[in-house]
Amino acid sequence: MARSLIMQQRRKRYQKMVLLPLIGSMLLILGPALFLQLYLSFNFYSIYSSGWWEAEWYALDIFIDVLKDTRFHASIFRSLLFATISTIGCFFIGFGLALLMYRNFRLQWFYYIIFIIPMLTVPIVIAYTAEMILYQKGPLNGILSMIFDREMMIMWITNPDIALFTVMLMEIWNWTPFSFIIMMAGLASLPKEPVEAAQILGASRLKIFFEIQLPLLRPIIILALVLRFLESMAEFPKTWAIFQGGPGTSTETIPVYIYLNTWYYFDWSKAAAMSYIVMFLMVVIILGAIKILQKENKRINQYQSN
Amino acid sequence: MNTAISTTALMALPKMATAGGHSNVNQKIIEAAKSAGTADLKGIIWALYYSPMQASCEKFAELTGTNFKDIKDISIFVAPPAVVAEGVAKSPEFDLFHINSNMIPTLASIGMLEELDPYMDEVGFEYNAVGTFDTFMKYKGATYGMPTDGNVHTQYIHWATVEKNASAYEDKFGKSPTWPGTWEEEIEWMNFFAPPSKASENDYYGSMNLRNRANGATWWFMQLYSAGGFTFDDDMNPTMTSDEAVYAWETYMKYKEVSHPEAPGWGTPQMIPRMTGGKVFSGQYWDGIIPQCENPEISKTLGEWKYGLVPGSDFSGKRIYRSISDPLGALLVNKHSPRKALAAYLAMWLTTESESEAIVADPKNTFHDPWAKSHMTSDMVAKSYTSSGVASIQQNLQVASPPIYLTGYMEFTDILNKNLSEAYVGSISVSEGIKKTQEEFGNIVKKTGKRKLKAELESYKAVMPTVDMPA
Repeated sequence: MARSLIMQQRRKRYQKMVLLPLIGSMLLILGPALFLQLYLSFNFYSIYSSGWWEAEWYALDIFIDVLKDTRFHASIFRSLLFATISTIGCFFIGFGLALLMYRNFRLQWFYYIIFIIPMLTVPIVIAYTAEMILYQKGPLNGILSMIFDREMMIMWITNPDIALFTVMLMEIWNWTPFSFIIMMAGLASLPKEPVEAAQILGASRLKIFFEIQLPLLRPIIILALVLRFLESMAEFPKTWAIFQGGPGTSTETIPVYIYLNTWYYFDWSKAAAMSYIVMFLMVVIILGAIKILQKENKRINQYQSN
Repeated sequence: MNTAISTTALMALPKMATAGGHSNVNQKIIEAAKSAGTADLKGIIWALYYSPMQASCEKFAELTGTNFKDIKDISIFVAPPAVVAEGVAKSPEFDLFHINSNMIPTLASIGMLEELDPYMDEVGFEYNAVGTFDTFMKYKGATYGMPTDGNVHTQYIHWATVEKNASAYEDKFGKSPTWPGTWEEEIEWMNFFAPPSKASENDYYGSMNLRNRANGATWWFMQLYSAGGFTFDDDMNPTMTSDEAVYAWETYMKYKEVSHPEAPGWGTPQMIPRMTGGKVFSGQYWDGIIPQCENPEISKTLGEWKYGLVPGSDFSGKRIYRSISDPLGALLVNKHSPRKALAAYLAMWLTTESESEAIVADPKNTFHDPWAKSHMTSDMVAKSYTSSGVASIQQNLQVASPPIYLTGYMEFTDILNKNLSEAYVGSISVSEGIKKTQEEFGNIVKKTGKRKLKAELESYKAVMPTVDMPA
């Protein structure tokens, strides 16, 4: 009993030792920026005034303005839609590839490299290459025309109804390897004993997958989904390089709208307030995810101790 | 003589040409630069603009010991945020900014631009620009920029198609095709010479005008101003619901029937190959493409184009022509730089007759376009642009307007671009677009300060052409 208490105390001390320098350096680097951003979101700053500290105290008015801004609402909606669909797409394809790849086979290393290349490609290169592929008379429509045996003239870039979907496709292509790598690691870390026991008892592969492997993978899956979702919410290079928020406002996601407010409208106070609201939204999502992860870990620990 | 003329008014007058020739001015600039010391100047400038200036910069370095080699290569389209950041930080790092001169009101309002009049007076420098082009460099009576690029929209017509179908045109309209004088006539020409019903089959579309979110407004302004309209009234109230503005919106939308369906997503990288490849018939475009259309190494349509005056409008009851200069590349000097005097001398050097001629005449790097009177009679310039190209530039420069020459230029034009784009792709109706623009422009005026913007109206109007049509 005393021994386990000592172990617990040692573990907590070790955790602090590892985390405190990290938190300290993050605060040192991010702290000034976060503080200035907080200051700007409560004080209206104009780039035409002579200094930061001449900003006028607006209390919560800037936040209220942002919350009333219908263009902000629309951009939040687009970002959430974009992040949800691209995350699901990345996950299903990534998980599928991981299931095919996690057991050793000949030339596994070759396929591994091929599958992670998209993640290694710079987003702006993806954007400009995709733009050429996605022209109405470009290769993609050409291939689709061959497959469907009729002329396909989809306007991937200029139809406002599908432009956001086009960015989703690019995002899925770019970041599926991320989900793939996480799920590969998850599958590789699964204990072999439950699977072997189920095989001895004559369970089918599907049954083993759904009733043993998947429940054990749940924490990893949640982690993969949350991390990907947060990254997708911040996607900017591909959207801006090709669309600049257009056609119309169909690809005006939250990063694009914040960028416009900061660097086209020079309304730094509004952009700062928007950033904080979005950060708050992300924090809520992360806290929810952490709670679910903690429940999952507890469930797995109980299962393993049984 | 009226001795009661204010200093501001005097400074706003075009500078008189100095007697004794231009080499005299060049010499004075070199001597002034030598007496100011030597330095390695640093600037924010797009490499495509810097390349043709390099030889002149090296000459300056040889003569004065002041170099300009250290550049931060940023496209002119995305340079404004970087420059504004330097200004807000009062950074002395960069000495020169090569940027769209329509940003002058915004940057001067931040307090980051060095006034160039004292340096110009010191050496007796004057621009000798065509029309009122030099006023694009002025704000509230002071000069802040040295133009290097006479960027002005010029009319392009694929004349090979006109010649091929001239008799059919005569049969239908009872007159020879001479030149479209109005927007309506241009659309009529596009419908006739590049019929929309055959456009996809022939991959030959009527209009080359950009309709993407980033650029569409550039064309809209020409239509507004040629209708006799203006963006604000004297009290700084937006005039987006005026008859002239509605006419501009409706005319802008009419081009949809003669444009490529992918035009809402196309910028210059997509449109220029279509022009040199002969896949579009007509439109207004940056004059820097003329050398590309006439370049035997890259153009498939060499000798097939005619260049001229952009269409005008009779909407106001008289014919008015208005072209546009946007972006207009100019060198601005950083007020916070300890080397600002040397930067000002270099900027003037690059704008002298002899140096600017070589810069704008570069046949490969065609980002700098002719703007000075001397460029219009230069053989070197005519070799790159052709005589008819130069003549068309001279015409359009005389009626060149800015987009919006006010603090908040980027915000105004982005809002207009956004609403035009939404209406063009059908996400909103034209009347909704007009209403939104009116409201959003009003919000920008309120946020920036009505009093401040009213005080800038004089500078904005001073940049507008003084003639309805070129001489």
